Amino acid sequence: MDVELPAQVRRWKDRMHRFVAEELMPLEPDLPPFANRLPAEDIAALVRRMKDAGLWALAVPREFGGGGLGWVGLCALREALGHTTLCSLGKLLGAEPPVLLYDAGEDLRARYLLPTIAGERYGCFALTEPEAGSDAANLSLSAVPDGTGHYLLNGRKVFSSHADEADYALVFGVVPQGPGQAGGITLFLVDRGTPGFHWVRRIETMGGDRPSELVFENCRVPDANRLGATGKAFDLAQRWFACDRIALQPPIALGAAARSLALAQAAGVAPALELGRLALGLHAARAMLYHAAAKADRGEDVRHDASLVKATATSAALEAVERAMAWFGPRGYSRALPLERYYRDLRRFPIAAGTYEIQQFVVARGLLRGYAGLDRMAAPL
Amino acid sequence: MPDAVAAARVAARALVESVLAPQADRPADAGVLAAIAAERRRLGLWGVTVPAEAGGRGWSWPQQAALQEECHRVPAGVWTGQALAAGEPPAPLYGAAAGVRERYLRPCLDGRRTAVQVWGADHGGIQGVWVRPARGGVVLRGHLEGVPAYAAADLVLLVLPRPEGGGLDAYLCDRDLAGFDAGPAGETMGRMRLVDLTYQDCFVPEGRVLRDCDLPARRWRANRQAAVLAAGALGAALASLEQGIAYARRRVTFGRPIGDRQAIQWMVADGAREVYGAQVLVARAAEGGGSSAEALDEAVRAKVYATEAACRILDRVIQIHGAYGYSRDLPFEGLWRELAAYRFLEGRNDELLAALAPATVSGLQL
Ligand SMILES: Cc1cc2nc3c(=O)[nH]c(=O)nc-3n(C[C@H](O)[C@H](O)[C@H](O)COP(=O)(O)OP(=O)(O)OC[C@H]3O[C@@H](n4cnc5c(N)ncnc54)[C@H](O)[C@@H]3O)c2cc1C
Repeated sequence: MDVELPAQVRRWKDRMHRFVAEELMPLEPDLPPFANRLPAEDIAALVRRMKDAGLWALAVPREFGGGGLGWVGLCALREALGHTTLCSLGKLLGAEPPVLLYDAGEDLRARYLLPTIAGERYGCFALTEPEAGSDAANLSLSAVPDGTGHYLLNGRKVFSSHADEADYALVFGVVPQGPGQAGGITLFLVDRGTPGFHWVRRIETMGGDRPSELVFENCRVPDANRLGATGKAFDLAQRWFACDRIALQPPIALGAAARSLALAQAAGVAPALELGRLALGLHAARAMLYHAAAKADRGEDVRHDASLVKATATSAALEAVERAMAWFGPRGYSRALPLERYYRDLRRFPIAAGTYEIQQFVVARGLLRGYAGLDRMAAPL
Repeated sequence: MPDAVAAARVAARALVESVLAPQADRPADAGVLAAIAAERRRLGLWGVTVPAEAGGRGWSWPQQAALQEECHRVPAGVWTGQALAAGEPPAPLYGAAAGVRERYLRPCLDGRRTAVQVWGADHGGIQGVWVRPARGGVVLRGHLEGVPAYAAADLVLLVLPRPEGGGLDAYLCDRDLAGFDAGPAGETMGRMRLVDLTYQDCFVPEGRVLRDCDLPARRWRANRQAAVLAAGALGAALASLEQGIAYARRRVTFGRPIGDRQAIQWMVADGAREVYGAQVLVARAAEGGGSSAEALDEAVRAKVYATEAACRILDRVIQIHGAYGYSRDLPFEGLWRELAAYRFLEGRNDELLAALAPATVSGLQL
């Protein structure tokens, strides 16, 4: 399975592979079965070593002090990271700020974006509500201007990953339409500790990700912490989500699946035909992934590609890990191998950040309505 | 439904209500297992697999399947599938010599010990235990990896083919047997723990060898496959799919219940087809009762079909519930993790399928 990556990306990917093998894999036994956390001092040491190795913030644009490797670079690094079950450790991903922050103005850039890139602050993403998952526009958290240059936030958020460790949250709320005032879904940066911002609980899951439930009760947020225009949160999201959809889950899933198949192959438990079929599926998904990432780097519209890539890569990877587990029989089921952990962690991908069914829907709708065309999907690079 | 099967269902539901459902969130510790055992005795659900001549209740396979199917409708029934092994000693013990019965069968029926039958013959194909005749008994040597350590089981009936050819013998392996070691229990994806059994030149005296136990050992395995694993997987899948359907009617996105969307309807319909198939196969296998070679094969088919289907169905039910399905606020992700083990218990599905393929294909020609 070889894809042609630009030489510079290739070099960094190799270094990331080494970092994973030397620094992260040895810590796998320390990872608690149902949490993505390690002792704070271990994390701090890892972050330091990542920075020393030059692996920190590599994909962040140069204008923000990053390495400027772009989306292809980010995919490559994360694919290497997928080779360890530590791949979903929140703070290791701190090197990648929430992409929406790239659109922040001077002030928010200084207070949130740059410290996040430096690894000093850490943000979580709070969009989903009990009655608004796939149907994200159905939000009810209200953000009402109080006439003093602040908004009062009231409502509940669920499934916010890493909110238990985060210093601030990107909160989506609904500003009511007033006389002479535009309303709509708006994005706010809310610091942990702001009065009225209550962290309620961790929601335990099948895997290590334990997203949180958050409640906002008359939480006063200054207008200066509004990111983007009132009512325009989804315009921002439109711009960035497609790239996220390509670069966050698929490469991790593919790295994990590649390691799983390699383990099965080395142990001689994989039936050849099945192994070949699954490996080919991953190979194709990977080719699609890097094709789409390259398009994103050229600034092309990748919304259609993003859904195709996410649905293809995450389902192919999940199937491969699940089969590898089954081939190993009881050993695959036990914690002695990384497979059961991978399966439990990867199972969130067809749900979180846009379900499999929603990706399918987006793809079909695009084609049926003519926004997308089959002949335009993979124009030669 | 024959009266006896209907009565089995009624008793099983009573067990579910009184003890299994309320235990759902508790760890399967000794206290919980003891409470379940006490309640099973009170309800007459103890020793059901054991024939009356051997001191049990002698339930038919359809009755046993009904019991497991009902118990598996709640999550606790799945992880206590192992608890239901208490009081149900493996069949090779029924016809053993009086002394062996006294020492091994009776304590199992009394609830003082728990025995499990371990199939050493085809375990992974790449490992195993070798038997060497010795004066006054045999010597066992070898290693079995990843054997389910049923809660509190303290007696292993290791079933192996006789080295010189011929039938199967079973070796009664107590904890006190010198050279026999059931290593530390390893954690898994679910509640079950796995142990590695090691035999280091372990001498088993003739008195602890059950010779020529082909029939009871095979029937017992088929009984587990059909009446516990297949029927249980069916119960869990059916109950979960019902909840998935209820949620699909309730959960609204983009102004309509998600059950109005074909993406969800297909999951429901695929699940329904598989539940139907599992129901029919489990019923056939239970009625066959392992009484012929063909009936033994049918038990294997039911096991493979129902356990594979149950995992797929649970996966879809997780998906229907979205993030809630993935969370431990709902039971489905945990059920998936438990049922994943059913695919290798009492034989790995891939190996069983391969071994059965010729018979299954020729059966299709009839
Ligand atoms: C581990 C994990 C971490 C998460 N982290 C975050 C986070 O950090 N921040 C955040 O804001 N959110 C997060 N989420 C929430 C996630 O984004 C939502 O779960 C997702 O958007 C789906 O919403 P839902 O769970 O409410 O499912 P629903 O929207 O209720 O969907 C239920 C089922 O119906 C299907 N469905 C829904 N509508 C349709 C339709 N129109 N057609 C066909 N099928 C449909 C779905 O595909 C799904 O199978 C996380 C979720 C998980 C599991």
